[in-house]
Amino acid sequence: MRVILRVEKLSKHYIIKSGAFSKRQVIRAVQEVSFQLVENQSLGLIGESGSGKSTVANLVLRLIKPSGGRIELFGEDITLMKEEEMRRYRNDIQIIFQYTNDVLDPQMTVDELLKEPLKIHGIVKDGELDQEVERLLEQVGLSPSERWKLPGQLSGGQNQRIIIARAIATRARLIVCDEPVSALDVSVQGQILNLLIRLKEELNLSYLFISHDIKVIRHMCDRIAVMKNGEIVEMGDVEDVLDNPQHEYTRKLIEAML
Amino acid sequence: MDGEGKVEISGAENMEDKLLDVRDLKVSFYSDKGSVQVVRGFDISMKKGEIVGILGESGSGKTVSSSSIIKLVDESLGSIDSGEAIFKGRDLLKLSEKDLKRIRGDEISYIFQNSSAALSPYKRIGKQLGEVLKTHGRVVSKEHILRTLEEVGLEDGERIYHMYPFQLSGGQNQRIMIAQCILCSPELLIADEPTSSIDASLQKTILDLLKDISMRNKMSVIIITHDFGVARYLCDRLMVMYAGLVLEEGTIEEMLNSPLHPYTQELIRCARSLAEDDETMYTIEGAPPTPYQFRDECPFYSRCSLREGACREGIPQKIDLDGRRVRCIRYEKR
Repeated sequence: MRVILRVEKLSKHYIIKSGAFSKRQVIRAVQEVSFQLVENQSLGLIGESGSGKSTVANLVLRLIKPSGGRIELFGEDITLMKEEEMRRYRNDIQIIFQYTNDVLDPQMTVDELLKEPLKIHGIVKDGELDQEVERLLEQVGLSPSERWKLPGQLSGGQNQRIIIARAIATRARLIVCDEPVSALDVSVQGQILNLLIRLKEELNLSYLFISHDIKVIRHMCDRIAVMKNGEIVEMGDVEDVLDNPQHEYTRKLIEAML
Repeated sequence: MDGEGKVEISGAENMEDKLLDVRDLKVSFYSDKGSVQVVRGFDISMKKGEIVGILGESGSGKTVSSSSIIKLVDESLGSIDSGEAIFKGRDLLKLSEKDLKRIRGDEISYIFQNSSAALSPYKRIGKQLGEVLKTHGRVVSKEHILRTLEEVGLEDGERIYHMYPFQLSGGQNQRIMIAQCILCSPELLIADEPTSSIDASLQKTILDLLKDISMRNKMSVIIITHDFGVARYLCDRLMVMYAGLVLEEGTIEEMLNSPLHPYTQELIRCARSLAEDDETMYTIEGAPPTPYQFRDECPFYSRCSLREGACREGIPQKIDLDGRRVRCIRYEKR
């Protein structure tokens, strides 16, 4: 199996000063985290808020600079890569955010929202843009009639499909899913999970899947990493870890499930 | 249906036990396309010490209806079209803003969804809590504040009293929010997704806390949630909202074990599908209508597998079945 992403002893520290005369404080948001993700696999990241899940995601996407450690994407070291160089990879690695009202520009139509990533990354020729938008809509299960609508005219589930379509538009191979269903309702959650699983197979995607919901992680992921205070405290196959947790914190998370 | 086995006490309700009775509440919002009704029929009746859940998709009207009970809907944004909310013999909807201010935070408290924004970052915890007491004309007593902090499970009250919210964790701040809400011993607490912004590992603790306070102080709780797990864990009774209407209501056991409305039935199948980790998730196709799409018909019509022509002849009436209520014409004939 081909390794898509390899992360070694990755750390991110923030230095804060609460006042002019106060002592410097170091916040260790992520501490020496290591994991790897192979082709067509999904790795779930679970842990309480503030445990560093999203910081890991931002580091992997190189939206922020690591303080230490190493990130390899498709075998190439991107740890300290400059933004101009990084741009070559931007289309390969995408993120699906949790749906809230401010993820999509409310003034842009679905058509414009889907053309934007296609144009930025030069995915298709200008003459093929319309056809490509139609194809993307179909691929994420939206009807062609939604194309001229604004996000405000669509339901939460439909907007989440648009967010997903934008991520796959660039032919991404690795997608970071940051709580993609937690804002959605039970009846819609399943639709999106089914879609993500179908796309993973159709497009041979790998997911780094962040969620606080153990049920969702169990359904979506092959492997799981449990984070606490910036560290991975337990990692393994999803069934092994959830059915037979070794770390006390993992047990606590499972017990707290309703 | 196995309705005959259950002899519910709802018919012989003790009037003294009744705390709140909301009937036929309708709320509209103004928009550039004119006024849109987002709550089209909301009724709730609560006894002392009872915990009632309101479950629904986002946009179903659960927050608007419950915040309208104490008129928290901004008058420049929307209006209450009709209804009454009788709380201890007075109609809250007819009270002046001045009287309502006295009731809010005193007799009825409200925990907002994004509660971290409800604490002032500039004031120490003790001062903030003291202000609540002062606002409601009560004696500002440090002992009382410390006792309340202890009641919400904050052991180190004396230290926390002098701290700022940013020095505390999310879970601690959530507890302080609850402390703020119960400081004046309210008879009714409305909690809007009180655990959605905190960690899964803390969720149970906060719910236990609410349950405990409710029992100890005979405080009634309305909890708004979209999570069946939360509802099952906490509630005595459950109401399911959809497209601005209460579609079904019953005890939590009835609702989970023998749901009547096709929407509730489907919703439970969806939740079960995830819990049992089915290969493919069971889903309800389509999406709920937005307020602009509301029509005079059953709002679930387009997604319902049991639909028939008659479902489109007006919004289905509320049907009372041994204390359970359901809005579906399939039960009309019985």
